[in-house]
Amino acid sequence: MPALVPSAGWAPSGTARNVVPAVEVCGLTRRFGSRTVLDRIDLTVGVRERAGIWGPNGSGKTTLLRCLAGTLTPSAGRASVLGHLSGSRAARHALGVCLAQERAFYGRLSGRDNLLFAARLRIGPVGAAGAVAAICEELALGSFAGMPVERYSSGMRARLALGRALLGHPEVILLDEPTRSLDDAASQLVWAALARRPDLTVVVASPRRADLTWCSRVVDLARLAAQGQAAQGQAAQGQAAQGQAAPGQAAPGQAAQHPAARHPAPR
Amino acid sequence: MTADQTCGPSPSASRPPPIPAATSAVLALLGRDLALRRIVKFSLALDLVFGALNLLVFQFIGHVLRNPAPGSVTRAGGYFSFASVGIAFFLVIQTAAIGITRQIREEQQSGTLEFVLAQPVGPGSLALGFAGFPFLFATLRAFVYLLLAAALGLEVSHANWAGVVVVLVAAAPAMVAIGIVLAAVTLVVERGDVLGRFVAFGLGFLSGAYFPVSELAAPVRAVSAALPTRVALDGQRAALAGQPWWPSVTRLAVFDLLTLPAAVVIFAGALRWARRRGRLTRG
Repeated sequence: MPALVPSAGWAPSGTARNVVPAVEVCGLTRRFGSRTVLDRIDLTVGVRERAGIWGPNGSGKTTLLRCLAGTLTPSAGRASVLGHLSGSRAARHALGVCLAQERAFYGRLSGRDNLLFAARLRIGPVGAAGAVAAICEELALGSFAGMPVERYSSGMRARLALGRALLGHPEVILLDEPTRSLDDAASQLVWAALARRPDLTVVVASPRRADLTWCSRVVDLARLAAQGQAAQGQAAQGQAAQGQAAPGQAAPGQAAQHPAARHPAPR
Repeated sequence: MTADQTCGPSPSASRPPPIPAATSAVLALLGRDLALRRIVKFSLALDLVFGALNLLVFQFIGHVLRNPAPGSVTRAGGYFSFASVGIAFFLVIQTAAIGITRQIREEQQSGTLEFVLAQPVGPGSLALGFAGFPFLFATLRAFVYLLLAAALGLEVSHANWAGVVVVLVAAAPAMVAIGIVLAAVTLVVERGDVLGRFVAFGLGFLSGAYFPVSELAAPVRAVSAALPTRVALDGQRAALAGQPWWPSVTRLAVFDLLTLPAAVVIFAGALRWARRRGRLTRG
């Protein structure tokens, strides 16, 4: 089974904590009816790594994140977070998720109330208000946190979604197109917030390569699927090797390394 | 080439079509509604079914008013008192059933359900959390309704108010269990809200909300006796009429112990099903 090796941007410390990968996906397949969206995907993301999942629209990025978040059960294979099966309570506790950011808010509640709700689920009643205040300050949400979310712009929602995902000090965060609808300044806020958390493992999915320049490693989902199929002997190996990959990708069996991985993370 | 030739409209092509008549806009809107209501036939059939059920209820009521069985209605202090308590209780079930199914459906559509389920929360907490507010709100409405009915002539001169409260508290877990099962059904079935309406109506019908269950056929009476809503309703009426209500509380306690854990297990199963089928979100 071809496991992706850590990229040069990831420096394992050799501690026992790093023996268990932050995210591990083995032979993950997800079908919706007769349509196979993910086909035997293998992926390993190390602790503290910043991994980007790249792929065009419909390639299954969001589906993969949902399987990791445990809100979608794989049709076959398995996914785990810090050694806990995806969807288990321990895995959900370790994860911060930012999926479908435009939709997943209570529109009539204010941004602060949405954050408070999330904080109470993750942290409990004690400390929730303090955590919300801190995240509002860090992401400069204060100017609109009191407004009902239904009056937010897309950019405001995106920032609020990131703030919500960071509540409760997750060890791994899943971000689905976190900078969509954000201007440059707001995008910088997002990346800076993640950069301030060096112990956090980040998995970012996006169809835009520019979004992934911050990542230490970028994985092409289509390529990953081809690798999985080749390993199973059900896809022609020749096809997998004939330049179907996006630029900057490695041969099957190796980590798909994006040229952007050479760029340092913005601080 | 002159500026007119460059920027002006081509004499032969790209002339904007004339503004359509007002009727075509109306037709377009009607066509849209028809297209959106893909299940218009289903809705029509549903309205007919509910209409028929309402007629059936009034047929029973008519029979009760013509030939009042000894006990039941007279013990409650007349048909108004009998029906007031029944309707107040039915209101709890109906409001809660509709509230919880609508809540789940809205959360599926908005994506908030998926977010909540990605948090470290167990199915028991989720189930109780989803069902709790609709039932508390509905209970409050029922109290207001009873107060209004008392002002209009509901017989409460012999009422044991402590009994009324104890019966209500004893009934709450079993009612919440019904709500949790409805929430589970909404996760699994596309039209869970419709099913919620049916269940609420059926419980009201079988539990004797509008007419004494003695009017029902023997096999249906047996089903009625197995419903916690029937026991709760009997207990409420007994407490309001100053009659023994403890037997109802004891039976409700047994229902509570059985139904609430079972409902949570069903809800957890529905969540697993929704995760497998990708139904935590709906468009």
